[in-house]
Amino acid sequence: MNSQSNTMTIAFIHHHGLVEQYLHEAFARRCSVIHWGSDEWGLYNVKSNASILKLLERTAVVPSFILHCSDRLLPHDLNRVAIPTVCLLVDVFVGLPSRLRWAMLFDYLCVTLALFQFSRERVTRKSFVCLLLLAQAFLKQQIKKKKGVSKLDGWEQSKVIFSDAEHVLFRGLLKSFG
Amino acid sequence: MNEWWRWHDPKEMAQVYRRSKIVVNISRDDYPQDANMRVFEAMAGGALLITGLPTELTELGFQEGKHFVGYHDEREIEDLVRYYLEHPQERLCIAEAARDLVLKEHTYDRRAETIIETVQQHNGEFFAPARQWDNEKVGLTYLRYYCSCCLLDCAFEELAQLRRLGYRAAMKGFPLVLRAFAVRLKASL
Repeated sequence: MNSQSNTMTIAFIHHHGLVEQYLHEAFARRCSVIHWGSDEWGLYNVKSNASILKLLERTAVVPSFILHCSDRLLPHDLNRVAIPTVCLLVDVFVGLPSRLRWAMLFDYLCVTLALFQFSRERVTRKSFVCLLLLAQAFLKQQIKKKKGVSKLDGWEQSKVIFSDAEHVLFRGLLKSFG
Repeated sequence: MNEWWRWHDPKEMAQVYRRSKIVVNISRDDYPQDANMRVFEAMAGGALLITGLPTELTELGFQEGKHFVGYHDEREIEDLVRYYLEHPQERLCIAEAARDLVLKEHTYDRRAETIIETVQQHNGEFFAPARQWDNEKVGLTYLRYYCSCCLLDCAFEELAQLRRLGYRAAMKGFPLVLRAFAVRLKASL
């Protein structure tokens, strides 16, 4: 591993999910990680459409790149930020065309593939300039334990809930159209 | 034998893999060669993997007979399982080779390294197609994301921004918001 990475800082935007958590831990072993995500782990809470430029204003260190892996949070101004942005799509069998559309906001696209060949064909057809295809991975630290292996890979998807806090359609539209 | 009739949480699944001598992978019908998460879990857990052929595992450096055992027809599975239960040395040899390869090449640490190295190789160049787009196209892309995630608050804010760009832009986004609302409504019923 390049020793340069030890001095790096990565801004990692992610929501809850085992894959994201494992990746976060893996990055944290290599460099500093700023986390922008939900507050479910008691971490820094960010609004789903917060401006990346404003988030960067609050950080003490300018990250080397921004890594995004979230179905709940897509910061604004990704197309204007002067830091490389990386989109990581995990298990993208469902809704791949839609994901590839918004992935174009990012400089780099990494796809962790469950359906390797299938996804590769669909992803490469989109002609991303910098595309990295990764096969599934495994959490080494956990499986090496002799007893009481506690975590395995997986993907959690939260159920859509129509909460009271959400705007109803026309109240939202009223707001939109002023 | 796995208790297939009930759901296992990840912690339990790890224990199942650790206890298993053999894990049989039958991938989804519409993509039988799938190198899914289960095959990595099985091999990392130290079990012998028996999986369908052809498999994408061969593209990733795994060899049949060395790291896993393959079958062409599901009717072969029973005989294969019986054979490898009766020949523990052969089973352990394959399982150990697979485990070594998975732990060496297919961990999250390796994936993190690969991502970091890729960005470093390009010296932080900007490649995003959206950096060349106009505001309307960028706004609609954000709107699609918020709508697909049913983040209605954000979708309405985005629609308001598109409205500031002009009614034409807002009207393009309007059907997306309507659809997201319908999805949210349906899910809540």
